[in-house]
Amino acid sequence: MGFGAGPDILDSLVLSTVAREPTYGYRITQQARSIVPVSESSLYPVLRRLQKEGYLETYDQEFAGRNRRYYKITGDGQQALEQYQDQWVEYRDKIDRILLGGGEMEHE
Amino acid sequence: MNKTEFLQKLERLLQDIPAEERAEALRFYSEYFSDAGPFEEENVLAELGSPERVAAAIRQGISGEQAPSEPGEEPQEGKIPLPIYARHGAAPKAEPSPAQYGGQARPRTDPASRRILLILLAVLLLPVWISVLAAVVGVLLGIVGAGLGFLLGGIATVIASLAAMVLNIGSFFIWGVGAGLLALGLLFLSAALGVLLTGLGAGVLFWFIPALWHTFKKFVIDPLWGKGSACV
Repeated sequence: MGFGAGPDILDSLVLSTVAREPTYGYRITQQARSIVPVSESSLYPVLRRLQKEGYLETYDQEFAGRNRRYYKITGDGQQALEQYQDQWVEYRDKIDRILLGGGEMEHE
Repeated sequence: MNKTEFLQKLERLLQDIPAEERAEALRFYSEYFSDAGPFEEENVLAELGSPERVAAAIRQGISGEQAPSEPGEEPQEGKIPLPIYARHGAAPKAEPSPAQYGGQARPRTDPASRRILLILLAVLLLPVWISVLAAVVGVLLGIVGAGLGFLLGGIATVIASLAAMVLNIGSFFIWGVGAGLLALGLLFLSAALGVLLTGLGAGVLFWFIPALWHTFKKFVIDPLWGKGSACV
């Protein structure tokens, strides 16, 4: 049992990684994998989708004689990230109350 | 398979997607290998799995945008999609919704219709479960009766024993120390038995019956009536 790697978890992880510092695909993937058990092939579709939705944008920077594509967060992306953060806190508190609160589960 | 073969195979597999998407994806993975470095190439290949798998993930990512899973969820300019775990409103609702499961495990039957089914079933099977219920109630009443009996009887025994002890102080003087000690001893024994009985009775009434109820609730009532397949 775990919180898994649903689409929203990955979205929030990617957005927060990139918000800290613009970085490239390999690094974003390694960062995500250090937190959640995802396959390396899962990250590209997420990055591509976030880019098309306007939450991330890309730019190239030269590195070791080749162009490396960097991802950075947009204004919309920052807003989305803050929403995810609020909703995570709310969700986490609810789970904590049940899982760690030690009381009976609420019934309808 | 090495990196070059992988990328070539991937390119072939992606022939059916738009050229721009294909180019973006190939560039991503080509850079991915480069950034990982030559020493990591084997690990990356192992982790990525087959080119077929990567291509499938890419295709799924593309088609996922064209067919949103829920109506009204299509991301638009400036519109922020809510995470699954908050989609059904921030305030906790009376009705359990998929939101509370974090989007990972969805109940296979909706709790509301499951309850209707249960009520219908209960009505149909009335004769059966009424007799079962009667038997169970009978047994439970018996247990409660025994518990009460033990409890009250035990208390009565203790009180009587203590009273007798007090009243029999005189036996020390009338019948002698030996007889007096014997009487006292027997009365203490009887008092102890009384305490034991009281304890048993209290245990039955205040621990056994509630525990029975909790177990029944947990394994019968909650799974049928409550949150169903929720797994916290």
